[in-house]
Amino acid sequence: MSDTPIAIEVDCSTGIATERPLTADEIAARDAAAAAAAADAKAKADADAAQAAQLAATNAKLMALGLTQADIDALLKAAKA
Amino acid sequence: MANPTLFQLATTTVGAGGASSVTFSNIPQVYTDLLIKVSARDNFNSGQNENWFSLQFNGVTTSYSSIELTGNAGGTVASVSRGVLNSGIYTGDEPMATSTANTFSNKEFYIPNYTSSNYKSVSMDAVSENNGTLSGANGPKNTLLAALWSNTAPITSISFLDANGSSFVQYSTFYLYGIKNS
Repeated sequence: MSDTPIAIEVDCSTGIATERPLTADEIAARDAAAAAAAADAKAKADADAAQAAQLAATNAKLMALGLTQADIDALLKAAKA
Repeated sequence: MANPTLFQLATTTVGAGGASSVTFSNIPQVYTDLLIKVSARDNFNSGQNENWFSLQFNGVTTSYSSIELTGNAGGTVASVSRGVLNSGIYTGDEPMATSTANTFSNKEFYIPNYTSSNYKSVSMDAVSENNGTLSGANGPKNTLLAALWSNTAPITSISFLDANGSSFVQYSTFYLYGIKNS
């Protein structure tokens, strides 16, 4: 792999492919996009984890009230239908 | 209606130096639909087992949205709705540095009415090959995706941008076809 990222552009009108190193601006934009994507992924993972924790806590409360896991599963299935 | 005819417009294979992006430019405006086939792998090396690339039109970084349906080796099926991600359309997983050696993702995109003045829709079906050595969420994954680019400009260029600052590796291939309905 090259140290400097390469961009390939294929001109459909000529069929000619051109390879060139990314400009400094393009590298900065790429890095910013990578950071944004990582932040998006972390936010989604955090939200998924929070939702799973909430679900587990709710499940525990329902079982403390005397419902069985089968009861809770039936309720969830009915709610999703 | 006459039988649709398929024309190969452009193709490229990434060389030994890798490529962070591939762009098809000056796309002829004389076809009805576009079809894209990609086989890709990248050099991202992190804690995860799959990376991805995004699809971008005309160099524009806004107004993309999508919803996807995925199924992985663990039997888990999920639906994910996304807004803008990495300045383009998220296209599902692709093998990276820590995936099984020499495995690639296979993705097919269909873009109807790409020259119209309406918003542009995109459908994709893809599989990220990982040769079954990993199970569950890190194993092979199928993705079906529907996306919208809320922009009325005709599509004149299409870019594939590898995510997380990584690059497509050698032998990744990109094919663009035009489909004419008359």
